[in-house]
Amino acid sequence: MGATASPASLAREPLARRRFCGAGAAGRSQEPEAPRARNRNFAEVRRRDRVPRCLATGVRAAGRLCAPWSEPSIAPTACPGSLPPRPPHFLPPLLASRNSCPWHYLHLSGSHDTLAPTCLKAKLHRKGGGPRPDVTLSLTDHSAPTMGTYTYTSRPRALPCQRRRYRDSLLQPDDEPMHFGNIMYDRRVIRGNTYALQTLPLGGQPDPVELQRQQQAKRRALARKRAQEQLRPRTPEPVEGRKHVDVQTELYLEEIADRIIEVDMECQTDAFLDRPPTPLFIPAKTGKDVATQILEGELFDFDLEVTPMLEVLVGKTIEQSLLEVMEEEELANLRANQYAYEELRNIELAEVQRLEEQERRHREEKERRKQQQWEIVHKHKETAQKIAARVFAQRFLADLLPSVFGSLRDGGYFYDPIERDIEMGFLPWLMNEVDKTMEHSMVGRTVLDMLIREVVEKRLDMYEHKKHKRPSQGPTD
Amino acid sequence: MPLPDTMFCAQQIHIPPELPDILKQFTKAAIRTQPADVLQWSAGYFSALSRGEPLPVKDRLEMPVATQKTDTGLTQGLLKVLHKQCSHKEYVELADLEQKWRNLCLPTEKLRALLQLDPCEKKMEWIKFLALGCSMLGGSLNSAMKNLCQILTTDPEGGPARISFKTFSYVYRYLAGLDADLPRSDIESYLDNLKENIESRKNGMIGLSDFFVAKRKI
Repeated sequence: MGATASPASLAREPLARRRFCGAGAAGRSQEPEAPRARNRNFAEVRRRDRVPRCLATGVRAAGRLCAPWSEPSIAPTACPGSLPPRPPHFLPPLLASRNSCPWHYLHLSGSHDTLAPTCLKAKLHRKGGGPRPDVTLSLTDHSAPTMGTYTYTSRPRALPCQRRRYRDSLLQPDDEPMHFGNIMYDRRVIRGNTYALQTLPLGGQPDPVELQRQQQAKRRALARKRAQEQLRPRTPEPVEGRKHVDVQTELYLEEIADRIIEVDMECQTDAFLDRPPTPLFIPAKTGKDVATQILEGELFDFDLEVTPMLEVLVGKTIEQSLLEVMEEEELANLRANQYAYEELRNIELAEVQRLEEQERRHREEKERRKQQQWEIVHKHKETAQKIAARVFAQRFLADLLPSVFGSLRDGGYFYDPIERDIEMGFLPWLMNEVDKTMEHSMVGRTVLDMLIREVVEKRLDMYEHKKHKRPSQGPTD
Repeated sequence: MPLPDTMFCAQQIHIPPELPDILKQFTKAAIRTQPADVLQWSAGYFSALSRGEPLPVKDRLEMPVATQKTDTGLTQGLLKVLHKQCSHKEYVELADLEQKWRNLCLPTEKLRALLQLDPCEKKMEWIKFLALGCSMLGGSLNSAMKNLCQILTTDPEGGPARISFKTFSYVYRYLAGLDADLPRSDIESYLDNLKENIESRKNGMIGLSDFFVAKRKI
């Protein structure tokens, strides 16, 4: 509807609604008397759902429209606020069936892709007589066949009182307990065996033939809808610069009285006040007041009263003093012993040092003396060896000397220098001179010999020569 | 809130806050000093306390020595107390000394006997009196010097108990001078001997170990 609806249809619509609503309201109010209303069940609801407009929205609209002129007792009949709580759509069906409010959702056999809401308890105890807030079916299942999943929305509202808070009379027993419906008549509950039950093909693969059929049906429905829309006469588009406005087109202008006049009102509560402190509980006085006069000094004797205090004072003081003295004495003793030991230790340390020093000196002295003694012994030994060697050498040389001299003398080491000079110098010269002299004489003789020889030879020659000449002369020469 | 005149209960009795402390200190002092006559000693204690003088209290608890009954009753601790009370002045008044002596519950005759060793008029050099007291404590000159060292020293108890050699030699000469038997040369040689020992090692301070232990060893 809205801006595109024709004025005529627009004007008709509220009337139609009103009529419908009135009928509905009347029907509801008559429900206690109507036998069929009592046993109204799901099928009936479904049938009523099939009217082109959703029943729920229709009822809601009617309720809104009825409000100004219908009696308040009737109005809540259509008020959606009186709906019993319905479980959220995501709750599993079985869980929902356990709910105190018996709205159930069934996976209907035969059409596995639709979830249809159904009401087990369409009727609640309304024995009370007059029309009163009652359960109204508000089914928004118009999307169920096409969507495949069930959705439900409802406005939040207060929980309705389902039971009467008190009984009408004591005599009359509460003979009509709450009907929660028999689950055996619930169509969602499968009775008998489930072998013949059509189940979803395993693996989520729907039958292709079935799928095609569904699509065809869907397409057909869509086409029909489109054709209907086209068939309906429409308001032409507004010309440039104008727009459609809703106006009354009836013969007589009527005041629109169903508009609720709204007036803003304010109401402010006072600021919270602090709770005042609880007054102290004072029990009521009982008994009688009596008084006794006490004169001064009758109750209190100082000497007597001061005794325990003094005892405590003196006793504590002495006890603590003793403790402290003991403790301090102990500490002082410890300290004194400590110092004494330290002193003793110092003395002993000094003594130890002294002894060490002494020992060191002794050792050094000993070493020195030992060294000295060693040296002395060493020298003794050396001297003795030297003496022995000397004696031995003396004795050895004593035998050796004459022979050495003899051999030396034999070797010619001991000689007379004059004799040696004559031998070495004079005799060779003498021999030389002798040789020279003899040579001279030899040379003279040789020369003489040669002379003689020559002379002889010459004489011989001459002789011979002469013989030859005087062969006859004879050889007697 | 002021205290009402009439007292009704023990909670109203007021104890001065200083009282417990004074009482405790007094008790401790009494326990430590163990005076023979507590009353006399207390009088001395409180008069010293009120005058702000050193209290006649022993530093350490002394076990009663056997000689106390038979002998003067003078102990090292008591001498120390007297020293603490009198040493601030070089000379001590005899009357004052006698008062203090009595406050320590010591018999006056003993004081007289002590003073007869070195008679003087009204005043006495404190160090001399102390030396006399020390000589009264123990038999020998050496033990007297040991007591003197322990009283005069500033070292902690049980320590080496060192005093300056000057004081030592002064007291030694004084005490030795009282004894007529000791030849003067022996004293001097002994002191010289000690002095050499000390000056070689310590800075003019003579300790207990320097003369006493050596004696004991021998």
